[in-house]
Amino acid sequence: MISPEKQNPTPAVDMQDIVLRFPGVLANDHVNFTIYPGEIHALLGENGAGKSSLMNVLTGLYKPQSGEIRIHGEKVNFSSPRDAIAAGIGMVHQHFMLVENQTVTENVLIGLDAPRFALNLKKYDQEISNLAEQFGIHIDPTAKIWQLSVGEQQRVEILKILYRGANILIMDEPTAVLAPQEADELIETLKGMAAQGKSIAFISHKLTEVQHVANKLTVLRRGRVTAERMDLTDFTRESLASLMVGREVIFNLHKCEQTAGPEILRLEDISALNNKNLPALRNVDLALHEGEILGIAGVAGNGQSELVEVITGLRTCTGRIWLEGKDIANKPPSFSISQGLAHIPEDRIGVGSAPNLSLTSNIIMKRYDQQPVSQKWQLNYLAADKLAGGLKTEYDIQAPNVHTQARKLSGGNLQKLILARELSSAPRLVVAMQPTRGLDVGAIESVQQLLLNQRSLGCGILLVSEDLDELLSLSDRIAVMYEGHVVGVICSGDFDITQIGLMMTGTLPHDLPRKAETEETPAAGTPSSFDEVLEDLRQYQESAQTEQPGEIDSSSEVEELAEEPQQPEPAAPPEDLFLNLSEKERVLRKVLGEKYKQGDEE
Amino acid sequence: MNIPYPVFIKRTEDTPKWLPVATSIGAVLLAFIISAIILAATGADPFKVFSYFFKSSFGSWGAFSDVIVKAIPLLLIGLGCSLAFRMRLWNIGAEGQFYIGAFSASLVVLVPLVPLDTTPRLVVISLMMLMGMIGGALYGFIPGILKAKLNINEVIITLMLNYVAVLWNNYWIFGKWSDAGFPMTKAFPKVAWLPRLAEYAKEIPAFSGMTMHAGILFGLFAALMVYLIVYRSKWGYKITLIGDNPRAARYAGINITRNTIIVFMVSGALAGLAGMTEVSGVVHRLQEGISTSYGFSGVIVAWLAKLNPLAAILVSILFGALLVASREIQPSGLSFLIQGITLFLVISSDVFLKYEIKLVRPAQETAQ
Repeated sequence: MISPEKQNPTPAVDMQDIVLRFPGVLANDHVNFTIYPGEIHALLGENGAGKSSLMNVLTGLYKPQSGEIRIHGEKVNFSSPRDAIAAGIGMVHQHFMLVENQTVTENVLIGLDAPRFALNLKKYDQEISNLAEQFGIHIDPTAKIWQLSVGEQQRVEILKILYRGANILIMDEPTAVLAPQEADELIETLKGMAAQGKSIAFISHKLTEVQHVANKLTVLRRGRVTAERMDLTDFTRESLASLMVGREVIFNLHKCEQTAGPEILRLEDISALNNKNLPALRNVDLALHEGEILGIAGVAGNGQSELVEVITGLRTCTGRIWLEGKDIANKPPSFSISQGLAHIPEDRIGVGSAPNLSLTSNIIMKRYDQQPVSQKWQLNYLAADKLAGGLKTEYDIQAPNVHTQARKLSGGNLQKLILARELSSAPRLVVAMQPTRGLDVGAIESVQQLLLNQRSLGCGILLVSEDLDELLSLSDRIAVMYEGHVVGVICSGDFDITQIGLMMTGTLPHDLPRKAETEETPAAGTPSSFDEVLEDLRQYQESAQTEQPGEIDSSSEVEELAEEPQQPEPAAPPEDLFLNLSEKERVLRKVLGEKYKQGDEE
Repeated sequence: MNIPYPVFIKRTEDTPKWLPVATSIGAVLLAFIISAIILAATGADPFKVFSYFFKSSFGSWGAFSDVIVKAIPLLLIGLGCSLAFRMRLWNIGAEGQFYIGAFSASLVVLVPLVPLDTTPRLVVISLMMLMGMIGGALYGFIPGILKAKLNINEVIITLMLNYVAVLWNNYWIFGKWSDAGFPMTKAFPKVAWLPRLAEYAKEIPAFSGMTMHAGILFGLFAALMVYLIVYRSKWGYKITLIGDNPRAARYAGINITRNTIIVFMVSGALAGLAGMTEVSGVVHRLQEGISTSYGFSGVIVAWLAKLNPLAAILVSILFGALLVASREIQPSGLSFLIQGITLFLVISSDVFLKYEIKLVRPAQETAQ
């Protein structure tokens, strides 16, 4: 294949020596960035490396202090985003800008001069449908935005840009909001568009994804280019990571061997409803010990959030939750906080912080009622600032000072702020939900190390994550959740990604076919290809249909078993409790596909 | 389209401390300038009007004392609103809480709750204060509990309750307590009057005729208390936290239901106290139209003061002056015109706090 560069010698975008300065920050320091037509060029870098600033220069939002931008060889000088749109540049932001109650077509047409007064929607529906087809985008132009999935909404954003005649597309971390399958579809669409001559800038900090999608790669670190227009084949995951963060990233964390102490948390027969008043947790039993990390695995939406909320007192439930001998079920959050429970919430901005308040105010959120911050009815702001200042240094929170508003912190620094607040109070139990999601490599490493430090201090940690690799490397035991049940709990010696994957689809551990083998030699039980996994699944499914899955094998090596699912209607056939075979296959492909794809190549 | 001077807008990272003050003052000045232009357009001489305006509110101690009388309810209501607004509770019901406060305070005299000829003045007035605050607090409790327990929109509830309160008052002053068929009660006996400066004219002749009453002390004391609550106390921290992110507050173990109800009641109590000062310090009876929409002007006071209780003192004096001047000027609507323009400009001046706005001149562009 001839590279796009040789086919067409004029770059679509040519940014040379861009310098962008904000008060106190050099966002872009003599940055070069070029894209040729038909190319997908990845822009990789940590949060705050200057990727978004550079793209905002290209879209006319920021004016660089010096530097030159040429679009298709012509020198341009954008003074507003309008100029950039006119030059054929469009950006898909991470957060969509769509009107929920209007149709796809209406959203695409918003802000355009073309339909003046009378709106012949049918004509435009057809036009947009044709445009979508041209680029292989599947969408119904008459659908209302609220009816669409996140992935489909993103397609509307792309259509908006295409309809405006853009041939240079900037995608700002487009896969961050997507499910794995949707991400694959997006990548296909992008490749299709590139094949038709569009130029695409792809901003990301996910290394594996970049390797899939891009032709060329530019890496930014602290506003400077550390790798310019490189071919992706020249890199390994490790070398890319070190280009991004400027040092060797340890993908293997230091985790010391230690035996778990006495029990610290026990959940007995916990059931709870979700926000739609449907059962989200069904008779969950779990135990957690001192100095132990209990990972919770599962496909998103199988009761993990509700489990965390129930433990932290944010959701009512039935059953009992014992934290060091005290029942904390259905107690207000203040009670469990006073009992030494720390909570690292999933939603850092929406729940974990007060964005317009200062670093100090955010740090003392759970401590305003304790000495020395609390002085009778008063709040001692000097002591609070001092506390915040100390934690800012200790946890390396990058911010001008303790009076900086929390919303001005980058994602990684905000998470460090939350960790500083939660972990500095010497907690007995840490409940962490998705603590590393959306963070860049360097921040992920420090967050994980902080959790391991708490573990060695004898703290019990409940870690909910959708990142199986993270769970495997951090957890002492992993509990797998499916439809509100804990399907089973596996100890670290027996970790087997296939088994976990099967359990995530609702397969009970005692039914797993290779149990006997895994007991002796865990490695031997690991199927070598995806087909074998599917074969196992089929065998299980057949046996489940003939036998009654209800007898629990007490000799199972699995430490705890879920209660047998409570059937709402006794008449329902047992296999209906779980997904049917094809459904399971789909989920398995999603969970394990990546793993085996890599495995098969090797 | 070719814009001759492209505007360059960007979110500001750091707002200097003086900027909010500067924009508020700028907004007030601009409001006067715009009013001057309107005056000039109607054929009047704006300088003459404004100097008369100024003279009628600050020209003499007597005039200034009248200004303070108008400022007292504005200050108390503004403080109550600023506390509620800090928690993002949109209490637009100060007008109603004011009327119910006036009504409850009047009960002390009209029922009467205590024998008026034997009870000392201090006791009667303290009781009236207490009743006024309880009345306002209970009237604030209604939207408070509806908001906290059922999440019913407080704007609608408080707005509707304003009408209820006015009509409730009318029922009593037109009916049972009407003084010879007029929509007012009989005048209160002196024992129920807040002390006025004029009462001390014998000792200090300069005070003769001055209407300023002891309510100013309540206002200043309340401002100090609200300041301490907001900027020094743990409770103020909780209110600010709930205001900024209720979900984070709940996560931090703060009881939002309880605080919503309490803040609404405190806000109502301050408005109720304002109602008490008006019946006990100014009109000395319960009557129709005791509020010249103090409840709504108080909202403006809170906003213009950027929810700062000490700034509210100055702003309420400014608005008191506008009210006093409106008595002297024809048409009296001019004061409300300035009020309206000021609020509009103050709210829109927030743009300057959040964004940096620059004009890029063509000359600069080519120079680059």
